[in-house]
Amino acid sequence: MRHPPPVPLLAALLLAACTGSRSDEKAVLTVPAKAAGSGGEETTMAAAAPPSAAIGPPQCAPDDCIRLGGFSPPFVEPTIDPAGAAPPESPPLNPLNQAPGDDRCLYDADGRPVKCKPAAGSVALLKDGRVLYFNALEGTERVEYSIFFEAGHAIQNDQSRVLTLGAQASWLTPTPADGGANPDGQAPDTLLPPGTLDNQAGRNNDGALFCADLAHTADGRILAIGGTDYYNEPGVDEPIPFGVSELEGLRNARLFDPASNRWTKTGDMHHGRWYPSALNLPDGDVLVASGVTKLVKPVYPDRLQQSGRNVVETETWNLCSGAWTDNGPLAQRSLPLYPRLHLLPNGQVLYNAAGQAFNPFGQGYDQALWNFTAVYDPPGRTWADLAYAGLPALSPDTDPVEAATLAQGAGFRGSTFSIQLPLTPDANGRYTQAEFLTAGGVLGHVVAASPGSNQATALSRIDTVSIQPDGGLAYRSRATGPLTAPRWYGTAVLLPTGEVMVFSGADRDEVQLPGTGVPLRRTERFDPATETWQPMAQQGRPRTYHNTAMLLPDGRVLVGGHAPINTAYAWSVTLPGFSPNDGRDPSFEIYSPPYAFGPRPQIRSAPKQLRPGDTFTIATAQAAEIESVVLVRRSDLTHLVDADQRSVRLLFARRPEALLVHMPQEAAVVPPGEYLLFLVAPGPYGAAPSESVPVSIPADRSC
Amino acid sequence: MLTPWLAAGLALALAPALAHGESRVNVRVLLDEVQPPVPGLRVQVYDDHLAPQLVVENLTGSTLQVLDLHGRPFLRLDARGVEADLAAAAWYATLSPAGTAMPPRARRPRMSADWRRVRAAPSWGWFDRRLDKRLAPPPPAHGTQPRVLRRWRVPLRLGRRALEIRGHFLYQPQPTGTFVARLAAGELAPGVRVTLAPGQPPALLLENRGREPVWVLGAQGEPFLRIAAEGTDANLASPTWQDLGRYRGLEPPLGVGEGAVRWQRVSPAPRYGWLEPRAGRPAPSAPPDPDHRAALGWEIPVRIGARDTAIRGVTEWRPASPPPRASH
Repeated sequence: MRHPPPVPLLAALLLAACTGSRSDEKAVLTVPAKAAGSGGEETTMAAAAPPSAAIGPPQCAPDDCIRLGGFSPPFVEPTIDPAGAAPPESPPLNPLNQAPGDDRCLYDADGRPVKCKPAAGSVALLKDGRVLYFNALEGTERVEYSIFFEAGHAIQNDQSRVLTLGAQASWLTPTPADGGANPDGQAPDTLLPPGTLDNQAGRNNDGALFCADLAHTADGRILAIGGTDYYNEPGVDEPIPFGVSELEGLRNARLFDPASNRWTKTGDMHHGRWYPSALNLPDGDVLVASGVTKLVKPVYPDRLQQSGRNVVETETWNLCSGAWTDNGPLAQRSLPLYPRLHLLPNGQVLYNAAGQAFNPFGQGYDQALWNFTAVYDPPGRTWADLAYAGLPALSPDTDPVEAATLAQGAGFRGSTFSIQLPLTPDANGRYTQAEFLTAGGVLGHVVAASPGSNQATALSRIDTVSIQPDGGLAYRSRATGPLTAPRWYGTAVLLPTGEVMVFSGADRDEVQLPGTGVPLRRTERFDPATETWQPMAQQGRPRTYHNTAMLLPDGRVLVGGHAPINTAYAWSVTLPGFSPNDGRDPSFEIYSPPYAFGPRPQIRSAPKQLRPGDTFTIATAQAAEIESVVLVRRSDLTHLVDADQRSVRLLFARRPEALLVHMPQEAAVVPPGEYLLFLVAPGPYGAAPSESVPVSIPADRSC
Repeated sequence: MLTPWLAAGLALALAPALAHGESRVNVRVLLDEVQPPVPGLRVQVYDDHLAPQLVVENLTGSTLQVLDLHGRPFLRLDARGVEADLAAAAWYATLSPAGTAMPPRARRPRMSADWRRVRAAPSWGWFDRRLDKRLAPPPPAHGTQPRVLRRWRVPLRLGRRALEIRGHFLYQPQPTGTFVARLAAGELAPGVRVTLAPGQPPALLLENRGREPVWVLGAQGEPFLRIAAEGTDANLASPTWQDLGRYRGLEPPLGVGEGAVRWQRVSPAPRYGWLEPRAGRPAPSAPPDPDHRAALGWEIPVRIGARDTAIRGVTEWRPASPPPRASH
């Protein structure tokens, strides 16, 4: 049943006008804030002060706080900027369409949502401690009957926000709010000549940030690579269906500068990419791989060899010039969407045999290759296969149970996280090994030509890549204890302690049949000592598709997101007991791990800038108790992917009230960028990290 | 390949039929003829996972009109391209498998025609409702033999001549199941191991830790891959390699003739993974028995040093469900 509109659009615009908005100010409408989960967030009127909301303390009993941790009440941006909330093209009203009944959206006179608050489908921790985030699938609330056919005109460019966290949360809208790429519609890769029924002109959905990947640049800006151009494509020649919505990957790349809160364009890639993965190389250049140019109909008449698979070309962004270079034929590789990539300590890039796999026709006819882990060598611009993921541990002396578990969970895995466990130096201070934790998601099952099972798995494994004395790589896998429940699309966060928390997700694939997954609110923690998972606190909100979680500088975790596809690719409706699919969830909550409730070490002082090979001093009164010094790279996460995610344990020696710390010699261990420096000491509730201090590692080059 | 988006579309398209407990998965929409036949007029039916689609190309020099259920033209094709009547309900109903929402102005009764050019070439395709499989009578519950369920017709007008596109709904049960490939042995020689990754087609990964190079031969017996301690080379002139189309911009040099060998280093590692259609499903000309499991052996010739051997395996056909009982 359709809810009555809280504030009709016309009234919203009038109200905004009455507040005396100038053209250079945001026309901000205040709507009643209610029931964002906490029963009454603080609300502010539009004024010079940014909109803000209170952040409540963790909601947990003392015994639970120190065992399981606790979540703050959800808090949400209190206002909606009505700019751009033009009435959509209006198909007949669907009486079964559920629209959010609270303050999440503005509505027109017919009760249609015309603009909603953005959810944190993608997040990045800025170097000044604020949080950049942007929406996913902006406008799905406007779909009346089927997103499959209406996405091309119902969906809009995603809004971005900057969130400041303190006792209160406050919001700022960057300029331009949608990132500003492709405002007039790039030349799309349509199958028809321009001008024949395309809907490119004048549409505010040609440059969506949705499905871009994020990377911190070496100088602390945020690079958003790719994105989405939505349109309906009335194909003509068979076998192209008519009128089906298309999501085309953008060639654009954009930079967000925290100093100015502005988005600007940088160089365009050679290939449009939707769901690419990007990561920093040791010199500060950024590698991008995979993505698809056309999601729904990946047919390219001018380059048929590319049809039916993802973009195989890799490209490298130059930190100094902003230009992209195609890395050549041998740098090509068929990869899943959002391939799980990591930079190894030797400067090579690991593909960890996981990703997203659902674009029609382009699950990839060559998707069997996705089962193989592989490494890319940036200087040599070549790939080398490494192993069938998850299988190499099998040997005659392998425990049969583990062997069976490994075999079951081996190969390509979809919608899982891939966490690089802390890089740890050997006795000589060299970093010669990297380990990766993969848990949950869906198993490949590519045998049936399907991208994967619909049902989530609980299987968990660690893959180890070791750098051999001769420079070669060795690969092995071991099974860990399983998740306590099968989990699709859980977002993992590596804590400074080396433990891994997983948040959100559902019990089955919410892309294959949206709205039919049961949300998982119970979080879990991976103990690296026992290699088992244990249940932890229950988060406040169910968050299934496009959820996010991110380590904050104080060691807590920001949890947000949830922007589902319309139920069964039809309209917005919540099936009882299943994922909340009546719209997106713009709220956040903050998870405080058990260590947040006990004593923690403190950093009195530390350098603000470090380079590979440096030796430096950290002043701390708890020097005698410190068990690890950890550099954690600031997160930038979308769709479970943060290819730059890393935590590096540093060699150190204790001094009176100080630590003498050695940076890694290898730039590939600490690629340039922005980091958080933590100290970790034993505590009454497990290992306890300090709050961090910011550290910059500049690129070893001058632009 | 049935994909999530298409599956979702399919689910939506089939929803009314499924609600009545009838599956039309095994119903095909086939074209019989254009009557009377006209040179320059080409018609085809494309029946994808979503809905059957009529595609017409008009090179006759005359204007072709497609008529809706009530005899009103909603499409016009001539040498200049295609025009659509944006005031015709059929235009919106046939634009996508599930139809497209009609703007209010087009819903007014007796709205006069509003012809707009929608394409600059004389061909068009549309999801004609007369080809909707739900219009066909229910197929037999457990029939195993093909059967014509109903015939359909779409009226046209070419200049002043009346034409018809004619076709029929055919019930044609198809075997459902999967092909599963497996290796006979993982170790070809000491230090030479092969792994098979499932897929359609599957992929092979060969690792050579032995002392001698390993040559994998192509479908015509030509050198295809050479995997050795110093790395992996591909023969760019191998038809098997070229069929893979793995790298763009790495084509063989012009003038390379049959039997030529042009090695190209493709990996610095002594292992390589590649798609291997020879380990996949048999040719479409030999469809599997829908009722029974079957296994087909295959081998990929390999030379290790001077010794000829092969990667051997079996591809098994596994029917998805027990065979239905015949009702005839």
